[in-house]
Amino acid sequence: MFEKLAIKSTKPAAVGSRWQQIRLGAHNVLPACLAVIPLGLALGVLLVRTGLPWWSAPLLAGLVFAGSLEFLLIGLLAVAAPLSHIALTTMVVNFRHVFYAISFPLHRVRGKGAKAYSMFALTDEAYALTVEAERENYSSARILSIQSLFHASWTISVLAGALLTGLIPESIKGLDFAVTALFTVLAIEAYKAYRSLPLSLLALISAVVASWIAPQSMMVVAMVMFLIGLSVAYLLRRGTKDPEGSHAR
Amino acid sequence: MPDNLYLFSAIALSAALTFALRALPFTFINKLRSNNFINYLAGRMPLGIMVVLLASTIPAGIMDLAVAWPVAAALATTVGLHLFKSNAVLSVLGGTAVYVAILSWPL
Repeated sequence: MFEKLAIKSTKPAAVGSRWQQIRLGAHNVLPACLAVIPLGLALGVLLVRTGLPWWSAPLLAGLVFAGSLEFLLIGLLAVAAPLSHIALTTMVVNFRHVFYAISFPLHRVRGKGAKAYSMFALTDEAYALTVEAERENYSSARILSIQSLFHASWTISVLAGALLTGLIPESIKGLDFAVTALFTVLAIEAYKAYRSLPLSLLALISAVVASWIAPQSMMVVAMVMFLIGLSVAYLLRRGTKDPEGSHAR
Repeated sequence: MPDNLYLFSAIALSAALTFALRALPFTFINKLRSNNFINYLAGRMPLGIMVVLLASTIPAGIMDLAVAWPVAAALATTVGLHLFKSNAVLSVLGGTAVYVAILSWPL
């Protein structure tokens, strides 16, 4: 496919390589795009069955673009909850995103508008799928391809769910496991990039304790606990001899 | 049934706050790039965050054996497929298929 393009194209190499970068991004994001289809359909169906107009489905999915929050918002929108309640829920559920700037390769994205879009579309999946960006030298086009294709897949799935509410069978149970399977794969990939059993255990223990003491806001509590643990590990390490922190590879 | 103005305002508010949470940290992160502690976190956070996100999608009531064993079987399928085939689409579809099959049995 690439060879065919290269033969046909009389344009400079940069054009061909840009298309190639977009394709590489598409290859990276395909599992995530597929995994969220059942979830998106379910969100669209739920939205219409809750009594909200169908056109609010693509608005919610395309503009808020944060899956777990959108499920909570449907319930709040349906009862016309006060805007202060909407704001508080958004802050609590999405607070974890403030941590993503630390590792997300925004400096690789070229152009002001592209950077703004990249920050807007910095979902859990986009964060996970760019873990290798530094080592594998992802281009701006590849990162934007990952983010925009995921955005399109999510928005279209939610819209399809809202429009086809009557056609989607309720009997298929367990399709939502696709998201668990997706994060399993992403966790394995993150482990391949940074092989550390103690780190995985620290995160697992944080998650278990958080779901026990704060089941309603488990994600953010777990991430804060994990960060506190990391900070302690950093201070202990600095106290010994290796201030840079040797990378376990 | 909420009116349209309310729906627009609520969605716009939630979208704006989500954007702010995602974008604002970038305004000062560049100044911290040379900071040892930030670099220490940057390399180690993705793994931890993925483990937390994975844990957050595990169904409620996992301590109940009837809930736990289909999850365990589907997770084992996903991990096994991924370690042996390294094909993310196959791992996601395979694990999900096992989970759906167990939950809808007997058909």
